[in-house]
Amino acid sequence: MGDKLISICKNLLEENRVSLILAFTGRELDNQAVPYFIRDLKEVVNIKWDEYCTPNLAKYLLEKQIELKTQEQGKDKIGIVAKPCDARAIVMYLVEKQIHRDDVYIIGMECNGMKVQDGSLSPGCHECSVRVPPIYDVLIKSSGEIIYFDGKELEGDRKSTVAKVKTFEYPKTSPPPINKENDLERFRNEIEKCILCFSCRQACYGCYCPTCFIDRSMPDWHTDDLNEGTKMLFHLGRAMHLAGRCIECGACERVCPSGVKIRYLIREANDFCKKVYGYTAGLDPTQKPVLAQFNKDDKEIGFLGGVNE
Amino acid sequence: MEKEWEPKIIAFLCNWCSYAGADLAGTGRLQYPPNIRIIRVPCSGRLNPLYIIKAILDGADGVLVSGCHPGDCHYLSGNMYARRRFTLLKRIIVTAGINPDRVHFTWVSASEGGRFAEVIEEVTSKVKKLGPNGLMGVK
Repeated sequence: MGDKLISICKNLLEENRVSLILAFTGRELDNQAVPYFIRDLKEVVNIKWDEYCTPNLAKYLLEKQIELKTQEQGKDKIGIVAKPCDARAIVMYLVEKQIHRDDVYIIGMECNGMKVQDGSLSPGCHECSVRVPPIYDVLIKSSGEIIYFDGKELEGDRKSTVAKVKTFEYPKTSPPPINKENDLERFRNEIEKCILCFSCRQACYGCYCPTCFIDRSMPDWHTDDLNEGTKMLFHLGRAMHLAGRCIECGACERVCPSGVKIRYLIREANDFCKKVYGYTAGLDPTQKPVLAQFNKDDKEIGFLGGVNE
Repeated sequence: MEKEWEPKIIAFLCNWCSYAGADLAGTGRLQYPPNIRIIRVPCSGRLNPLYIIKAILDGADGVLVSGCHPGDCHYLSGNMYARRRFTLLKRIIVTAGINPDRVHFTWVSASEGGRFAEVIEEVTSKVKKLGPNGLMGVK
């Protein structure tokens, strides 16, 4: 797949269809891939693609887009090498109107799970069922086959992938049911490890607010020292802001330096959205965000005297 | 003589329906427990879920949010968005381990003074059974 990728990138730069490509390259240490921004044809040979290309490149689109728009030539296209989770992030950016579809050329890559530096699977890859990107301009499959997007709505692999994600059920062992208030200990134990470094916020595609709520002074959400209360506030607040938007890429847990297993909290909200509102984030660029729409028959689960339970 | 512990419940009431309903309960001289502290908001849809989280983390024993009935919102659809937001918020709070009987959402209209008194009775009795908010020791 790597050499096919290099030849496609070379083509794109030669024909001037993009002015910047976001890809991966290797470093001196084995088992590591870092983001690589290519503007020149002779840098294309350094592109690497293997199962260690774990970082999510979608967030760079937002900052690079600003950089390109301020240039003399006006708007230029950006090419991006997108794994399925990166492609889901791009779909969410389209849903939330952060980028235009015409400003991005997506090189989709089929993915069977990515690894972290010690060779184990990255968190989130184990239970991932989206192996083919839901959006692409050109797709490179694991077999080396190249497919160009011909404008048809959903065909072949993508249709079955989307159908599988919509009906996917997490294994019964993971999230506990809503009526048991059993997890204060679990939450407290995880929060104890947190050092409020905000790496999870930096790595997440969905945390792109210019000023995060925890950093604001009007209103001042946390007024004391950084103690357990602030940590709880940050993680509960972040879970609420990502409810229904999380694309389940596992980056938050992967980059955490203290090993806080925080994904289960947002996964609950995501599951709820899937089951109750039939909404899965990051598959359909024409959808509206789940909290920006409503239905007059929405279920009022947990309400006093709630109807439609 | 030592006083029995009384819970402190923060109530966010929407200005057009629930606050007016509470006002009606007052003018009708209806008796209900005095444990609630009312905060008036223009619409239940205005309420940032962080206010509820912060209230619990700062030591409130219970939180009640009340708005107009769906379809009757003064701002047409604010309570519809609030409905989705609050069901998700409750799910997250419960997963984090906070007892679901501490946080309540309901719809009270401006003419339901009697119903408002009943709602406060119900919420206060539920919260009282749970005891003080242990998270307060955290701050």
